[in-house]
Amino acid sequence: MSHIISIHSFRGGTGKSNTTANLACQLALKGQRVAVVDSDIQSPGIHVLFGLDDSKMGNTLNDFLWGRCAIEEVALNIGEHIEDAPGRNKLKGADLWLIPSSMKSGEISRVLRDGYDVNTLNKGLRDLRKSLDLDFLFIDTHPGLNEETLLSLILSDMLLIILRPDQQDFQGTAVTIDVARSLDVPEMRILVNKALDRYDFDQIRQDVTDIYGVQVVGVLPLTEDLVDLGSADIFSLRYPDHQWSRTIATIADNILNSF
Amino acid sequence: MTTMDLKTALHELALFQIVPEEAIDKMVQRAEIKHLDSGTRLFSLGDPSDALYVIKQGHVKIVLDEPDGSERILNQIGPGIGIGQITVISGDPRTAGMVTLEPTDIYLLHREDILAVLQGLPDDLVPQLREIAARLALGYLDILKRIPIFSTLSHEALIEIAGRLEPVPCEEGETLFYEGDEGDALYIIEQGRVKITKLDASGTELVLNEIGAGETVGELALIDRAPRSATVVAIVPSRLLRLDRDDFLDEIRNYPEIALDIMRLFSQRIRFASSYLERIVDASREIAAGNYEQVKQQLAAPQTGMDSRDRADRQLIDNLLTAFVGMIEEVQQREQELKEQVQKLTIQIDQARRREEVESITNSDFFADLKAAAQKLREENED
Repeated sequence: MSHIISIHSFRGGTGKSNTTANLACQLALKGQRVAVVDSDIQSPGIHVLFGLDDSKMGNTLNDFLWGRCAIEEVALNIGEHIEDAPGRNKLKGADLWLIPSSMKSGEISRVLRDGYDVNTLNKGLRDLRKSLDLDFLFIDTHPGLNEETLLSLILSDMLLIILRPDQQDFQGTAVTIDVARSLDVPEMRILVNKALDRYDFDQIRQDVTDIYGVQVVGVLPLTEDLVDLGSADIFSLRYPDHQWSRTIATIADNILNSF
Repeated sequence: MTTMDLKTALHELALFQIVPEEAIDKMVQRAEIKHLDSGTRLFSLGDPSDALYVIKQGHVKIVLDEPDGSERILNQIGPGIGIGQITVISGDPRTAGMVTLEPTDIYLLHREDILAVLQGLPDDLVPQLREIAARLALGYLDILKRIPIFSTLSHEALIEIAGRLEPVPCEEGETLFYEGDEGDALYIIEQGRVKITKLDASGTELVLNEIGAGETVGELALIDRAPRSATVVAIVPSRLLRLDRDDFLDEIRNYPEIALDIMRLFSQRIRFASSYLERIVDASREIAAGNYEQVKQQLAAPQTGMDSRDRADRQLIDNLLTAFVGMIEEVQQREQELKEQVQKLTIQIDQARRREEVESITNSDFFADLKAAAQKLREENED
């Protein structure tokens, strides 16, 4: 039985792709069979964290949605494609796949213009889970509540919302949660990212839990170390003892134990 | 230097302020010119005062001969300056000697000629001139002229006020007056140093300021009758000159222009203070807007267009500016500390806006279709 987890934030810049990649890697290292779908078709980006660029990508999610290939032909085995980065090297042999979106601007605009069929996506994801025998399938969504994001939500077993501790994110998250409840998303979690050190993290966790009635799985600090590394490697793999990485590991455990 | 310049020089002598112009003219006519080589000694300490000198060109030194034979130079004097005005009327012995520093031309006015001219006047000015000379000897006129509220007074008024000054010696640690005492006089510090203090709420002495020779305490007491706002204590053996308020008010009756001068001075001070208040108001606005560095720069810059020669005002303004800059720095620091200390994050959600935005999504046809599709998909996936 596999589980679909959509990772979403109301605004961009919350560290959504980075968090998704790190969580997926942590679960893969624990022996879980994991796939990451980059459904942020408007501005794909998670592939960079896995050391991939346009030239290394074959088929994309776009090709599948337009009937050009089967979903299995899109899935890229990360364990076989790792580059020489100290963190990512640990993924050698792991069961981790990426379903990238097209970087081609023409294909991006076509999706924006025509949209895609929810049934096609659902069928693709179902086939993928079956053929790869997945335990977890992460969907990295586009920020905001557009139609594609709502489609991802109805397919998800869990919605993980990432927000920064600021007023705009608090307001937008309230709307997201209401909409997700209306769509009967079975599980919801909140992850607070980029919290400044001067705040009391336990207090933030308590306040955010109280205000939304949703479990907060972690409060991650804003760390320059993460910024320094940028997209060059998977941070929690490269620096497993860092506070940020340890929190990511506990969140991965939380997800694992939720099902 | 022409004879006209000699006339000007004599006019400007403190001693001759009350001497009519025609008498000055007569003195100028009787003046002699002497050409002196460098190093010529004209007179020594203790010599009888038989003449008044005005330098035409060149320089002289005023000297005291020490017992060991060395000489102490009191002053160096150039063209246009009169020498000997303190003792020339009385004929008392010279209080110092005079030696030329270079080849010098000097006007010489014999004492007999001066007295002869004065005796030819309808009023006998000699007693008054003796009084002026005595005050000059004490240096009171010079002291008064340097005090802001007296600086614009006429020579006659200054001489009158100088005549009212009463020397008050003070031992080290002696209290001149206490906070709350009746403010009945102005004090000028002739020599020494005093501190101005107040007691704070806990009874601890707070030193507001320290002032020295040529400065005054209690000048506002000359005008109002308010009690002393602070205590004044000599911190070294000092000599003060006391001007009683009643004496001062008498002088105002004799010389109404004193009142005008005082009014002029106070209005200057009000303008000066107002312009600073404007600056402070501007600065406060900038501080409120958080433009701290800008304000610090503005306050550090000297104010143009306003120039108070009043040292006390300057001091107060400087204190104010220093306090202001200090305040800015403290506010800045506290703000910084606050930024670092904030522990509690407040979460505020606009519930009306939240409802509105949720409804704009959930009320669409797309959303209704989606919900229906969701149910179907979940049933399919269960299989």
